[in-house]
This record gives sequence, structure tokens and C-alpha cells, in this order.
Amino acid sequence: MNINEARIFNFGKMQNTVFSFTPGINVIYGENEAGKSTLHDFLTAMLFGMEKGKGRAAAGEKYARYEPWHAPSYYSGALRFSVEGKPFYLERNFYHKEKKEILRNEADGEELSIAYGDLKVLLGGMSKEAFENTHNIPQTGAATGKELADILAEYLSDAAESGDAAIRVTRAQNLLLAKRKELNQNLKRIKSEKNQAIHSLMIEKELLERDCHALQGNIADAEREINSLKHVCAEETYKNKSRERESEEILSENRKKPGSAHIVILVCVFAIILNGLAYNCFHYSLSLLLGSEILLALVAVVAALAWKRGKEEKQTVSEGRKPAAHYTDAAIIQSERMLKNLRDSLAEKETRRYNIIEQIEAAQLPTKEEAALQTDLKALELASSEIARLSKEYYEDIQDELNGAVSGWVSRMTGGRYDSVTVTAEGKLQIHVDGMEVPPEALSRGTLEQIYLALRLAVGEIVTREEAMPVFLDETFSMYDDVRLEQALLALSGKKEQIFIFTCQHREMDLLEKLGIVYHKVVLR
Amino acid sequence: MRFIHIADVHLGVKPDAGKSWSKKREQDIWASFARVIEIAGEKKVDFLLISGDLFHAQPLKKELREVNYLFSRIPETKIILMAGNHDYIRQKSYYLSVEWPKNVYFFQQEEAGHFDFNEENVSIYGLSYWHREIREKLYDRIVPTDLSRINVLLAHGGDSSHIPFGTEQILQNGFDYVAAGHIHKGGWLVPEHAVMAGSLEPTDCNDTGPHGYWMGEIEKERTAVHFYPIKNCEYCHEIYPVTGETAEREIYEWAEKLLGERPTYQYFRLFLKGRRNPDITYDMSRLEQTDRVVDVVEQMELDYNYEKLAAEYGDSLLGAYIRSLQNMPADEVTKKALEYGVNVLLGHKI
Repeated sequence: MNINEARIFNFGKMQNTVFSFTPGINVIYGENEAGKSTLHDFLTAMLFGMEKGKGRAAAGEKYARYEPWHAPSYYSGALRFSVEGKPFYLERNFYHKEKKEILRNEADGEELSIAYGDLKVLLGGMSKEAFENTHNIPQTGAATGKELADILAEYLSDAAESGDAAIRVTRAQNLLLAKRKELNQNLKRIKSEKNQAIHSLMIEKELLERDCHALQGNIADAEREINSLKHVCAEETYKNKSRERESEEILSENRKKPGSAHIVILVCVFAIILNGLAYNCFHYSLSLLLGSEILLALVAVVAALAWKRGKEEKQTVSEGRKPAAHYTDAAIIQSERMLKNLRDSLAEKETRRYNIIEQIEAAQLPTKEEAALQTDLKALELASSEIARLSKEYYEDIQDELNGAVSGWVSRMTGGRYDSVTVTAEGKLQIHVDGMEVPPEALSRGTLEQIYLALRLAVGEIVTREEAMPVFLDETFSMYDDVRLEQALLALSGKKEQIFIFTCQHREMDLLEKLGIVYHKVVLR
Repeated sequence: MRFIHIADVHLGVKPDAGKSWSKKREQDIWASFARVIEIAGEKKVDFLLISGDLFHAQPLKKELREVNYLFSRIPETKIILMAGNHDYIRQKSYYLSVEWPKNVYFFQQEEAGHFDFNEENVSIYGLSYWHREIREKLYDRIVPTDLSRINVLLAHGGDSSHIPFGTEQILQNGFDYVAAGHIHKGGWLVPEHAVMAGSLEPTDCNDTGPHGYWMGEIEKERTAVHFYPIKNCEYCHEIYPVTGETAEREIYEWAEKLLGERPTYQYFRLFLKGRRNPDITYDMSRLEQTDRVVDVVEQMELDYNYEKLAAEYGDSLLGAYIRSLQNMPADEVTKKALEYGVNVLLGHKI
């Protein structure tokens, strides 16, 4: 980029002033208060815009500093510049209530849009911050050697992180990390849902197991009962043979009333039915099922008691010489029926239990959703590690390039005295003289300032590979002795960028003339 | 012999868990089975061949009672039955204690056996699963004893862990017809001689296409078998082609139109495929709650031309990233990592 003309309509104390510039070195000379800083700030504001800040802190800002006193709404100027040989016209009104921006290609009259980033493209994508750090070089006179070394270190660490690439890397890594967190949470949720489902299946299984256990107990009881019934029956058959006649009479009596064994059986059957019902209710109420357990136990007790009573009765009957062979046979048949029912019930429950075990096994397998999430998480991890690895490599490349450029500039500016300057990954400066490392603190302030300038110019070159940007040197050389200034000017004259030297002294012009370097002079009054 | 051939009824399965129609599907599967029994009765077929997995899991007594009742309704039809890998026989299975109606012939052993029907001059061979998996090629070794009869094999399996078989080998052994089950997508294995029945109804959203029963006639010289669909439920996979320009509303309108046009027995898994604008994500949750939509599967790639991007971004980190990922083995992880990485390096949200 080359700035050809600056037209100040109304900016600070300048009104309707036109400055023209040439490629190469431009020296803007003026005494104190002549308006050097105004022109410098105008150029920056034209290129990168200027916003009115908010609040009390805004009072000291540049917007307030250059705001016209009498006509605040007329706060504007224009710039003519060329990029890759094409001429552009840029006009801005900075007044915050009537902001106006015009950007036009003067060759074909095409209107461009700053809002859509057309100017940013012309500036090679450079941000205002990057420009301030590299191309806007202030006087560092006030800084001590140590401070300068710190500025350098800070500057370097900025440079290391800077370049849009690094900002992008950090942002990219943050985005990847956020997504990983989100997916991990999803995975956790799915797993806990799954565990919950498995858990309720396990409960169902456990309850079925308890039922099965209880039923097995009941079956054992029933088997015992049948055995004793058969025993009684055998005894009675024997006795009956001796008392056939009597028993016939009693039997007919006995048939008229239901026996207590009937009650036992009825209660048991009832219990089975109830238990089955309770099981069906499982899905609605666990407590009901638990109730059925208790019910079963109760039934067992009642059955046992009833059976005992029944037996006593029978004993009474036998003792009272009233045997009931037919009656006992019927009891056996009914007990056996009950036993069969109990066994069926057990088998049904065991089948259910088995099916549930299979369901649990199936539920434990990873689902498609889980597998997909795992793939995504692996992909995010890979992306993250690959970006980290490549950005490290990329930084090392920049590092090499930076070191080469810094060394070149330092060498040129110091007349070859310091031949190698390298910058560590941590941003530390390593300066070598005749193969020996010299700590920056050990260098003179003038030398450090030279290195500082060299570094800025080197970094600036690296970040503006797409489009060379003008370099503004604002009283940068005030602390340089004539020898160093001569070296610096010689080095700058070889640069392809447009150079603006703002100065209140004649030294730069005198030396440029002495060195035979062509330059353009702008005198402010 | 005139027959109906079905398989993989999966009585007791509860498809599409969590969906509003899940209960209906469970009932429909019973209803379809009952319908087949009814048809067997109406058409007075000689045989009903059920090639395994009649039940989704170990049959409960109640379920067997229902089935037995249905079987008893068609006493003229002989029902040939086996246990498959889902309802395989365990020591305590009801399959071992159930009293079948007279017209039911159940293969109870894992060793092959056969039932002979002299009146029809038919022998039906088969076995039952006693294990969840059987890797031996049990069917390939069965040779019919009397080649003058119509020899039918009732088979279940066909994949590597469920009795793998080669139909050609079985037919060479002397069978006239193979009535197979297990694979839910039905079709001819060998035209006119071997049929994979397919599940009577789909049991899972991946069982796309028509389902139903096969009915026909086998003679020693000729067979004529046809497929008859049951239209209680059909799962369809439909694809919406997404481009960088697609709006969410377009997808919803497409789905609405689709659901309106298609018969109501069709249920859908909807796929979004194609290339998606990196800045746009689609919220399909409302669509997934729509009736007859099982789910929406997003399989879109981002609308990037990686070659072009790599060239454009040359030496930069992005260019290096694309090249690096493209040099890795191309699996699902690297594919996704490429997409994620490019997305975030370009500053897009993911």
C-alpha cells in the first residue's frame, strides 16, 4: 500500500489541508505543536477507523482529542492510496452520530463497502492491533534498557501468539473442547439412563427370584402335605377294613359339611391367584408386589395352621372312629392339583426371570448412539491433538523466519556488529556476538532500541507478506547517535514499504541528503 | 401339498419402544399371526410351516395358550413348528411340557428328525435350536431317506452364527423345497425351490420393505409359491437431499407431504444426506416426535471442498491440517476429525 494524498477537512486543529506523499521515505518535519501527531493520528484513523469511546475514560481518547470544537458533526477527511497499482479514494466522517464511509476504486469508479470488509482486504487483512504493534513505531526514549527488554519479551510473546493464526488456534481449541464437554455429558446421560433401565430390570429379576424361592418353599410344603395325606390315607384304609360298617354312616354325615382341608386348598389357590395378580401389577406398584410376598408368607402360615387343625380333626375323626377314606382321597387329589398349580406358577416365573436376564444382557451391550458418540469424541480428540501439533510446527516455522529477519535487520542496523539474534519460543531474546551469547540487559540502551526497531520491522514484514503496509516512525531516532541513525536510515532505504518519519529535528533530512537517499519532505507550520 | 410358510413372527416383541404406537405394533404382531391362521383355515391348506422364532423370547405359558388356541382352530391344517435362536429350547422351556393340539408337529430335538405324512406323500425335516448360537452347518448334512416323497426342509438360520447353510447343497441332497427363516428380509433363495420367508411383520425399523407370508403348492415336479404382504406396518427409509441452501422448513414440509401421501401403515426413518452449510444446524426434534416418524438420522457432510481449501490455504495451518488428515487412514474418525478441525479453524461453531 502506498499513501499518495491526505486531505484533512476538519480534524483537530487542522482544516482544509492537503498533504501529498511519495513512495519510499517521507519526512514530516515540524516543530513541537506543529501538528505532527495530528497528521500521524489522522492517517491511522483513516486506515483503521476511530470510534468514540463511552464513559469517563473516553475523555482522554483520540476521538475526544481531535473532535472539532465548533462543528462536531463535520469531523472528516479523505485519503488517496494505491494498492497493487490501483488507485483508491477513502473518505470518512468520524462524527459518531453521522458516521460516513466512502471507499471507491478510482480507476473504474466502483464503490466498495468497508462494512463488508473491502478495506480490510486492501490492508492485507491486517488488524489495527497488529498494525499498532509493528508498523506504528513510537519514540521509546523514556524506556530504560530493562524496560525495553521487557517490552521486547512481551512483544515477542505477543508476536508468537499473534498473527491471526494463533488467535484462530486458541479459538479453535476452545471450540473443540466445548464440543467434547457437551458430547461427554450426552454420553454420561445415555449411560445413566441405560443403567437406570438395567437397574429396574434387576429389581424385577430380584423380585421374581424371591417369588421363585417362596414358591419352591410352598412346593416343598405341599409335597410334605401330600405325603402325610397319603400316609393318613393308607392308615385309614387299613382301619376302614375293620370298621367298614361304622365308617359308612359317618362318611355320609361328613360329606354334608366342607372339611377344613378344603379350606387349606382354597386359601392356597386363592393365594396363587392373588400372587399372580400382584405380579401383573408389578409395573404399576412395587409395593404391591412386596405385599404379595407378605401375603404369600401369611398364606403359608395360615395354610400350615389350617393343615394342623385339619389333621387334628381327622385324628379326632379317626379316634372317634369316624374314618373318611373317600374324603382323604379327595384331599390328596386337590392337594396334588394345588401342587401342580404351584409348579406351573414357578415355571412361569422362572421363564419370565430367564427372559429378563436376556433383556439385561441385551441392555448392557453398547447402543448405536453410544458408539456414534464415542466416534465423535475420538474425532474431536484427534482434531485437537493434530491442530496442537501442527500449530507448534507452524510456530517453529514462523520462529525460523522471524529469527532470520530479525538477524538481518539487526545486522544491517548495527553495521554487522551483532550477527545473530534469535527469539526463543518463550519470547526471550538471545543476542550473539562472535558466537557468544549476550544477555539483553548487558546491552546499551541505544543498541537495545535498534534491536527493538529491527524486531518490529522484521515482525511487520512477516505479518504483512500479502500487502506491504506503510511504516510510521514517530520520533523514533531521537536517542540515536549519528552513526546509528545513519545505519538505520540506510537500512530503511532498502525497504519496499512506504516510510513516514515524523521528526522535530533536521538530523534525519541532513543525513539522508548526505547519504544521497531520495526522500519527500513535508514541512508542518 | 398346499401350504403356507411363515417365520420370525416374534410374538411378544415390543417394537419402537417409547413411541406412541409401540403398543399397537405389539398387538398388530399378534393380530397378523391370527390372520395367517385364519387364512390357512379359509384356504384349507394342508400345511402351515413356521420356520422358527415364533416367539421373541422364551414363550410364557400364557402366550403358548393363545397360540395353542389359534392352532386348534384349524384342525385340518398340519402345523410344523420349530424353536429358533430367539425362543431356543432350554431345560425348563414350556416347549418341552406344552401339550400341542393334534395337528401340531414340533421338532423337539437339536438333532435333525422328520415327520412323514403318507396321505400327502410328504416328509418334512427339521430341528430346533437348543442354543442361542449354532455355528455348525447342521442342514447341509441332512439327506432325505425316501426321494420318492416330497421332501421339505424347515430351516432357521443362514448367517455365520446361526447354522450357516448353502441352499444349493441342501437341494442337491434331495430336498424339493427349503422353507427358511431367520433373516427378516424375505425372498427367494433359489427360485421355486427355496424361500427365506422374512419376518411376518417387521420387528425393527431396519426391517424395511414389505413383509408377509408365502403360500403355494409343491408337487414332485413343479412348485408354485407366492408372497402375500401383510399391511399392518411397513418401515420405509426416506432420504432428503440436503444442500448448502436447504432451509429447515423445507425439510419439515417435505416430511409432512411424505406422511400425507403415503399409506398410514408406513412408518419412517428419515435420513438427511448431502452437504450442509457449516454455519447451519437443523433441529429435527419436533419431526422426531411426529406420528409415524421413528427417527431422523443426520448423515450430512459439510459443504467443503477440501482439495480446494487445501490449495487456497496453502502453507497455513488450515492447509497443513487438511493435508495431514487426508494422509491418515480414511476411517470414520479421521473423516469426522477433518470436518471438525476445518470447521473450527475457519471459526465456525460446531
